[in-house]
Amino acid sequence: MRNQFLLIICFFCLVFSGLAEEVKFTARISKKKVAVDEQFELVFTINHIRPSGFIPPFLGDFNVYTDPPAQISGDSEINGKVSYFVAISYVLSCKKVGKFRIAPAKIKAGGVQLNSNALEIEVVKASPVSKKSKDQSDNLQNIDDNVFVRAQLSRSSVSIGEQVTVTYKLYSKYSQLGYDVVNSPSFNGFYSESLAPENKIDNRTEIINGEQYRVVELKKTLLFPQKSGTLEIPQLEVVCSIPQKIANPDPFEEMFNGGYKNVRVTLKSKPVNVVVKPVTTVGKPADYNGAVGQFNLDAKTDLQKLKSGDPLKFTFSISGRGNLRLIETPKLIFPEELEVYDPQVKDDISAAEEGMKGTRSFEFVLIPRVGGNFSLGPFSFSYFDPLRNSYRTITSQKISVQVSGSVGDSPFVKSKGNTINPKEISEIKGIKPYASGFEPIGNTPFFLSPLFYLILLVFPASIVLLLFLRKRKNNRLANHTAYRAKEAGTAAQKRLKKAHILMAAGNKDLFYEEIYRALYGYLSDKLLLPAPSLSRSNIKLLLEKKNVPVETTNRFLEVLDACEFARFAPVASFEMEKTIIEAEAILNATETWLK
Amino acid sequence: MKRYLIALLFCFCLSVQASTPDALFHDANAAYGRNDFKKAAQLYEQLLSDHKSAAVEVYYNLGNAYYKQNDYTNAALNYERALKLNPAGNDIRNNRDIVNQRIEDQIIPVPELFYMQWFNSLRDELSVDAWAFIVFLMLSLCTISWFLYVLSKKIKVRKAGFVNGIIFFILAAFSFLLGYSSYNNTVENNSAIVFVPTIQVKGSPADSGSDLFIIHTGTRVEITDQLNDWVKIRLLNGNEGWVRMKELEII
Repeated sequence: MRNQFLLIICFFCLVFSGLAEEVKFTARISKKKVAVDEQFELVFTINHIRPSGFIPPFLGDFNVYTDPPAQISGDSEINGKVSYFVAISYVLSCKKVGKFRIAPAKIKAGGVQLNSNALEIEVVKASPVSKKSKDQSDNLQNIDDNVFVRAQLSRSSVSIGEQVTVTYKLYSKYSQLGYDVVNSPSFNGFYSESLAPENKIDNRTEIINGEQYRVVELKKTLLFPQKSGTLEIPQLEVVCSIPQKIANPDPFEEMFNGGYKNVRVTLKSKPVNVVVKPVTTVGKPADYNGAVGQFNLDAKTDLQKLKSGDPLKFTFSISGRGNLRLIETPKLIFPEELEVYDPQVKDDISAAEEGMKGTRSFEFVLIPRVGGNFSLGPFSFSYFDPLRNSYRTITSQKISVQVSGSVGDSPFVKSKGNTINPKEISEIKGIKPYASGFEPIGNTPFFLSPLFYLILLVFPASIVLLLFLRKRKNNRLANHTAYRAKEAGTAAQKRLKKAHILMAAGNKDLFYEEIYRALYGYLSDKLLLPAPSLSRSNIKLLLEKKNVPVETTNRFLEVLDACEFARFAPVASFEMEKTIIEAEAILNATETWLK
Repeated sequence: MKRYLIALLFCFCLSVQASTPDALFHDANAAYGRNDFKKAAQLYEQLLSDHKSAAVEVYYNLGNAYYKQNDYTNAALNYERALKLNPAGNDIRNNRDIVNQRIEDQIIPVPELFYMQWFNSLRDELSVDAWAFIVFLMLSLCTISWFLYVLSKKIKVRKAGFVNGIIFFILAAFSFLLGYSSYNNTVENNSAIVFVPTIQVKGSPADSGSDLFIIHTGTRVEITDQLNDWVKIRLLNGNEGWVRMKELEII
């Protein structure tokens, strides 16, 4: 008791020493000077302890928007010391012009009353602008500064066919903002390829005019100008829904939406122009086909040697960076003896911000009509390199093809003019040289045939048969034991009869054995136990269990003892007579009990 | 005299040999090899009609021979017949698909549910009778397991027998389902190929029936019903209607 009292005193000492050092209860306001009806925040902060009994100052001069006040608690770190704090904040506005005093708030902490500092606030007449911005229906002025869409070009001046990337970005100051791109602009005068906008989810920030904005990429498109001059990048239209606090919320609305309402605003990006320079005509090659960029050329065939009439695949591939998708099928001149089919265009092109790169290949199928050695190429390809500002022509190496056979060998020569597409001919699989085995037509399968059902029946039938056999065996076993028990008496009588004959014959040893067996066999049959497991003590117990009187049991055992004794000792013949009578009597007696 | 006899014997042998299916097949292949597709097709047909017996390869080669003669209707019929005998044949499928591109009607089949696709591709892996054999195998394993369950005295063996018996029974039932599906797909004669240039499909089994749509030669149809000499058909895209039986050839 004494100890506890001491402890409590110590504790209070500690608390008070703590209070004396660190507890601070302060009040502050977000603005010293406000307009009439302008909202400001009043915050009371107390640190290190958990306050109780907070008594707010009289706020009769103000509109209180937060009732009860918002309360925040947490840990703050000051000079490396972690301390607990509680902040109580009010959102207020003032109805009248003038200077107002906010009286200290009171708080109880550890039995001591603490007062915060007093504050003064000056309320001035509202300026018309701020009044307007206060007007609930018209917050759009603010919104225009806080959210807008811009189109950004990677370059403002390019040559025809050179890529330029346009990125539409949404800048906003709102943390929560829903948006929806309304129109997808059509880029007139450009070949366009849209790219996946980056960081759609991960919001990046950018600082514009000293203000930080969240940035979302709305749309990113790779453009290849097709004509020279000043081309306009069209506007992108976005509908944004911006959450706005409602000044005088309907209580129901407040309950469901937290006093916020989504304001829908349609935003448009400002039009941007790009200057497209024409490609110089100086040194323009005759075969120039509009390719702009940096390219390599590769020409190859799938075979070097083939028979006339067989198709030959010739691949002409242009790889590199530039307007790959705009490259048209080059006009290649092949030897007269080759039948040429329209090429298949295969693209392996990836579009990224820095431009298109990859390979465009043209696969020609050529069918030589006659044998001989043919050379394909050299073929050339011209493009404009905007980095060097000049035309370049690249040339493929010559390919030689050996064709065996002569005119008339090929079935495809005959089929010239037919609509047979060589691609499909190469796809059809040839005939099979061997037959896998002939079967009569209309041969019904084994499945669902009568034999099938028959074999199907074998399995359940075999299980049924097994169960049947097992049951019968069990029955028989049960029958057998019952039979044995029933016939135990008869069997014993039989043995006794035999004993009578043996007695008449004077065969003493066999006589006693027979009696012995008759008794033992009787018990073993009756009790359903094998004879060897029956011993004297055992018999006593078992018969006791069967409610055979002890007297009868003892008589039974005496006869058995007599038999055993007589087998090893000389016995008079009248003894034999006595034993057999006693045996008969005891068997009858036991039978009445063991029925 | 002796020479005549030998010559006669030789001729006899030749004639006997030429009449065996294998020899006919070989001859037909040889004709095909010489690009004599007409002769090849004729020999394959002879093989089918004379011996009333067939192998997958005969139908397949016959399909090829017709294909080379630009007879896509007969080619389609024989490829389908080959597929009936060997549903898993990749070459047959390939050539059948090529033929289907060449015929007039390009019918887009109703897409099957993914598990039906799995089921069907599993089914086509084996022939009907192979599935029958698997059913027996699973049932015998099931029976053995149940025997173990009934006869064994060890509790572990009994447990395993019981569980395995159930598993094998389910597998047997599933194999039976696959076999049954295969049976329906390959044995039942409920598919046909259109064998006249164009058919006006009717809404009812009469010439007075309303005109529904037109199908062309080589198109595969499923027969779902029959009334006198009219049959109700269903296309792979699900369209149904009535046409005359004689305008079709059963696969």
